[in-house]
Amino acid sequence: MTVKSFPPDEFLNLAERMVYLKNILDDEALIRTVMNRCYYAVFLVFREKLGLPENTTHRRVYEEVKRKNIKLAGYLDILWVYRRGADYYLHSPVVLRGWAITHRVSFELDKAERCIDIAQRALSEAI
Amino acid sequence: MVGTGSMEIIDVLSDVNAATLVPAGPLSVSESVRIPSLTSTVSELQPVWEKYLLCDLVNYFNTKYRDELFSILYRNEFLQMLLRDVIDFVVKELQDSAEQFNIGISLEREDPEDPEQRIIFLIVCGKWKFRDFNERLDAMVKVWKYMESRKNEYLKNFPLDRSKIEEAYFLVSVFIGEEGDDCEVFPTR
Repeated sequence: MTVKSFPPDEFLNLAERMVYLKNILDDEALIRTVMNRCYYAVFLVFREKLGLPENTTHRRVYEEVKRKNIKLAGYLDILWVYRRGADYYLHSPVVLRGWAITHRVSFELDKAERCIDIAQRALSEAI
Repeated sequence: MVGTGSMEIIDVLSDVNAATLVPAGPLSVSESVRIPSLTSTVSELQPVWEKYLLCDLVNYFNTKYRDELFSILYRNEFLQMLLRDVIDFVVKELQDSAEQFNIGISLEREDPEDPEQRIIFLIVCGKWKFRDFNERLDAMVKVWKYMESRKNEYLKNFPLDRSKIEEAYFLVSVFIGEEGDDCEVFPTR
């Protein structure tokens, strides 16, 4: 029997498609979801590349990446900050590690685009 | 550092003057070259360096959590060295890229099995000349790579202290913020 495996970089493809939707500026949930998917695309690709089991903690994956490549770990870390802001914080502004994740009532599109840029860097440099 | 979602931020230390070690106030670019107590290299360290380095660092960050910061840094002298070296590098490296900037520190707890341990985030916020986020990201990459090079240098010079050196390396992260960000890190809910 063939074991099927989902390629996690598909999450980044999805995020890229979402960010070009014409109504994204009116849709904070969409922007938050883009940020979330960018993080998980990178996190899961790294975890798979490192051969770590599926129950590995985020922290452990980060440390293993940092052991091998501090730049990739830095990208993962930044995406984690944005993802955390997007997933858990509903009131504006929230500051995580000094970064103002929200400046206004809604999430800003440029933060989502940043996440896509970082995720693209991370995945291209990880190959 | 990436956490599990249960991370607790326990401290806010911010707005220090990197040039003069006087707490509070933005760093003036013109002043930022005066950092005499943060510039010695490993090979220049004197027997008493540890005592002075620790005091310098604790005083450098203007915080009401002085005792806690002291105890965190006291645990691992390579943490002190790495922080000192990274601050030194940041001040020198970024002065041409900024009109002004501040260096803050945030201490975050991630490991419930080791409540004494804190992850240390150096947070650099300011008014940058960077045109876009990618340039700021490139500056961060430069700082991270420097941190890695320091770790390798420590490992070369102090091979018997590998575990302490690696612990220090894993405990420190550096972020460069932007104007509108804040060196203050508010507690998580």
